Amino acid sequence: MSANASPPIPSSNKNICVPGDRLCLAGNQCHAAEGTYIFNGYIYASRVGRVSTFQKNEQTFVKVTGLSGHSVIPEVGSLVTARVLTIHSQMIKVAILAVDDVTLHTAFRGMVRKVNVREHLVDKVEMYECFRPDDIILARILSLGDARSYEMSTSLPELGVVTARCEEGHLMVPVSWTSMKCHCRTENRKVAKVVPPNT
Amino acid sequence: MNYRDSRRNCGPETATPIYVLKSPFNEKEEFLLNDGKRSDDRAPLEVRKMYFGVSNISQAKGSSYVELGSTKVVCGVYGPKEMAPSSIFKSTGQVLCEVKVAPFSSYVRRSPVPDRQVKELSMQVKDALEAAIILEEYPKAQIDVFLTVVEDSGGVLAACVTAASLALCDADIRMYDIVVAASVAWYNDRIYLDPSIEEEECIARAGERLATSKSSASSTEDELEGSNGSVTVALMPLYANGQVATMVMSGSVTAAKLQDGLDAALETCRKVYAIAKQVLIQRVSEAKLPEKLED
Repeated sequence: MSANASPPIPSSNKNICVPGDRLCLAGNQCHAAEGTYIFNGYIYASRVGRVSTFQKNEQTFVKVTGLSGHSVIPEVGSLVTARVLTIHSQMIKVAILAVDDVTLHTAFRGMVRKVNVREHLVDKVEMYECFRPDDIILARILSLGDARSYEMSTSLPELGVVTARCEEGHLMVPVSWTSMKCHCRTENRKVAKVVPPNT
Repeated sequence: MNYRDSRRNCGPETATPIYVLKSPFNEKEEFLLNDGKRSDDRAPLEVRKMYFGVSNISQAKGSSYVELGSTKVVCGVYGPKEMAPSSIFKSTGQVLCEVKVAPFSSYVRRSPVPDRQVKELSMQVKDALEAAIILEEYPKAQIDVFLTVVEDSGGVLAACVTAASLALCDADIRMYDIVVAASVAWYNDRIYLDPSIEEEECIARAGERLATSKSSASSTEDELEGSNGSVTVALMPLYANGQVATMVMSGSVTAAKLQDGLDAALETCRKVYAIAKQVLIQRVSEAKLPEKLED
């Protein structure tokens, strides 16, 4: 009844799995991580890739690493890179370009409301002084929002504008948490505190 | 088809199209020839040679190419991408499945615009895929599956479902299991695996004759007895000990023969699954996976 008569698998392929392959018993010995699902007390693979286990908080997790790395749609709590599309008095609309460090095939739409732009004096936010169209920002997904766009927030110090150009088109560098400058002018932005990666 | 196609050189108006003369089952509608083999030299329970390939379309997120005998289907998968703008918020993903049949895929030219039969094929493939994809992992997102039938030589639904599954796996879409499909025909109370297009058409014609003869209340002696029909079964072999994702059946089959035919179809599905799994494993072993695995 079961599928058989397949050629012997080379030893380097022993940890390759396909969706539906049963990996292990679910329980205290083994927890399901990315690329797996639990059914009837067992952990099964849900994508094509290589099975591996890792330890976290003294517990074993099993995951499947697929052909294209990590997940590719924005999830609640993920850090995203987005481009500002339009600015309104109460919110801005953005196009989400990348989730964590995976570039999206096609952009999703998101919005940042006025109250989620920064932590202090949330009512006195002037959107035009915080963002301009075509700025690249770092934001965090707050919720799935509605059918049209995700809800995002830039209220932490490390979130906000990363790259921006001035009105004449010159690339600007940050000078404070609220302004960036190029050689011809200074403009206001909600600047992100970008920490270098290898610290 | 008598209409003039201005984009092509159709030949003189009085010419007879060759397909009128071609059909081998025109007069003597016998599946089995004298030596116990079918018209294409197969045993009744023998399937056609199949070939599966993945990652053939570079622009698509995932793609596949399936051949069942002469039937050839190409599939491209795009997404997950943002759902088309609508006012409805969906907490699970959507699957958009579109089958297109090439005009040159069958003996009689088909319109490139999908007709009702092709649209129904799209819905049937979509049903099978929705059973397998873990849509809860893709809220507000849409997965596009585009299938193109390059040559239709029988078993198109089965080829489309298998091709879509392989392409979805290649696109790294989360699935409960790989869906594979196989088709089985009954004719004169015998079971035939993986019917070709000639056999499918023969069964369809026999079914029509049966329907018209019943409605005209006359019984001719050379009517077929017993079962006469075909079924395509899509199976997820491992999920929950084997789940049928979708089943499309036509014709009239006696209860006794029904179970035998379905068992044969499910067994064929498991064989197809073994081949599909090998192809995907090969794809992974040839690919270079992303280096960072620490979490």
